[in-house]
Amino acid sequence: MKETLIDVKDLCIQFQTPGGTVKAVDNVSFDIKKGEVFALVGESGCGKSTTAMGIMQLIKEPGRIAGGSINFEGKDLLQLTRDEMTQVRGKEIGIIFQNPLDSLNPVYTIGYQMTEGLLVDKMDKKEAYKLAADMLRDVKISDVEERMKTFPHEISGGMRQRVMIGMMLCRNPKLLIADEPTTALDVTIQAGIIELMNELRKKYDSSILIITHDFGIVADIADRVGVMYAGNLIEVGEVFDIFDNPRHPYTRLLMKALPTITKEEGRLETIRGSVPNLAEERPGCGFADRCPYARDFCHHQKPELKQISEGHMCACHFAEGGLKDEQ
Amino acid sequence: MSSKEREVLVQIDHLKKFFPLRKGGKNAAVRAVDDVSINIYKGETLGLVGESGSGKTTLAKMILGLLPPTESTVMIDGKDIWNKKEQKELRKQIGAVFQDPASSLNPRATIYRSLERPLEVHGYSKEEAKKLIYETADRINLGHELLDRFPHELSGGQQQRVSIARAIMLQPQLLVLDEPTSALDVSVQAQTLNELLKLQETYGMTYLFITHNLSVVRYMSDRICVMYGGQVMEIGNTAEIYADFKHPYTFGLITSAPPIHPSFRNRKKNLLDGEMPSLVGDGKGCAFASRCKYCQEICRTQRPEMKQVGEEHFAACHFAGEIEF
Repeated sequence: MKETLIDVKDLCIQFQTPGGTVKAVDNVSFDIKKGEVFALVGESGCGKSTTAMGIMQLIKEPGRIAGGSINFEGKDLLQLTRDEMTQVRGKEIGIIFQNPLDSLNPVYTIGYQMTEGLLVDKMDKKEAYKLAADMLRDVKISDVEERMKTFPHEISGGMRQRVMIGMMLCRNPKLLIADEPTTALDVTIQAGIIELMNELRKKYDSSILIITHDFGIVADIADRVGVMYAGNLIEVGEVFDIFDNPRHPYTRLLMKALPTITKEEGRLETIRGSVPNLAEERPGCGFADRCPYARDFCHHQKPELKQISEGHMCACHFAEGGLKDEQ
Repeated sequence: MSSKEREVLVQIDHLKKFFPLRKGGKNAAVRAVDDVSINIYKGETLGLVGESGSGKTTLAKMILGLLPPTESTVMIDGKDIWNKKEQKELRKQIGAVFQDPASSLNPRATIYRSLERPLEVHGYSKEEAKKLIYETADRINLGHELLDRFPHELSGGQQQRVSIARAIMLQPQLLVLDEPTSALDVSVQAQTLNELLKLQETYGMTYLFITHNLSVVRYMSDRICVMYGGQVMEIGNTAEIYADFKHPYTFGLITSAPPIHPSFRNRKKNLLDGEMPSLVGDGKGCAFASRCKYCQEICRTQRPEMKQVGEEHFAACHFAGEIEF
């Protein structure tokens, strides 16, 4: 059994809006082991990115972390002071976002931005430059000396994302959060980035939390998967369990909605209705209104995330029974 | 069905679109679409795939009559889309749906108004328009209560359904779908794709389906056309393109797509190095030569011809059929 690196418990993140309190992340608990790739997957608005921002404590007004704990290497991140958290960000937990151009400063060179964090760590300038250059080689960027002098707009999108990954890994964080890292890229470039992340995790033994809506990415890189829906974590399991034996009706339907067939072979499954309004109080299961298996009490009683087999957890009243007969 | 029995709806013959550059000499231009010849048959779905910058959207715009070609033209049902006299009538035969539904709807107009406008242009009276709008809304399960709303009051999936409604209202023969589901969630995407298949079955429309999503295009298309650097690399039946591709670029593209199951993690891949090259140049040689690991001297100097490699399956590679992938 691998050691746990980060343990998120009962995390609640809420946003105060004119329409009421939106529970964007509602009692979410999961852990990530050392050296593991954990994927949080779900559709837009399910709270996966908000969870990542919560870990980094980058939630902005009108949002706030309403409860829970985030245990990282023996300390609760939510109890840290601002200054202490600043020490954690970037140094112990790195994060990359969907659009690297938003994360890179357009008026500074790649070299300057690569070494900036290292200089904060009081590293010698020359040493920092050398480390940054080596890191760029590690993320497969050619003509490194040249690249260090260029500005973000002079390089391509795929290269920018490589620079971001390199920049994050420079300070050797224990956890790397990647929020939709390849969504803005072409598939050919995406494949290269995924391959790179797979190589680097072996080399640096970092844990990775990858946030994505794409089950293909999950299949390609994740060890374990958490599926989110309407602010809740509804299923967690090993990647093979999730693909071969999904237990939650939402996960099952979503898998069948993926276009993995041709039109001659059949039609894709659709999910009726739409995502509930998160500002409304929902006593029952968040998916009940759209669930083909839902019974009366699903609307009134919220299912807990409970273990159904070794390492596989599911938040559905019927998770243990056979769902097929229930329809 | 072999190509001989089918009727051609869209005929494109050596179509070119160059965007001239101010810098770099007299004839410097971005060769966005460079000598493309394809036919689209009545009732089929032709999938058009390729990376960004491969010329997919430029080609679509020329078919829609929104961008004048540099050379050659687009024939739709035997008529020239760039013939001024026929253009307005022909445009009725073509509908278009774009990627971002929010930006193709006027934010200050109600959905009803957005649907009414094209009918006005084509000379429908208020009453006729009203009847048609309600009929179309019923056809694609768009609730009548949504018609009085504004675009921002609709979800992304609903907005896209409005775009589709507007595109099919005049019962066009051809629907150009440019990344119609790229901005949508998986479950909404499935709904939209199924809806499109149903409409096609009912009305026998022809689709040009443009996307970079390789599993979506596999689900939707009868034939697939792979573009790169403004040129067609390979075209053929969907099944053949996926199982028996002959072009090194198709190999790279298809194996780059993420797997559908974790057990395919260690599949054989052909990861493409580098980036798509600049499209400014003399157009000599194969567009893919700079990234192709099978590249030979001839590839840099001579543009490969379209070679027939199967029934209805063509590849533009000097070594098509000779390379073992």
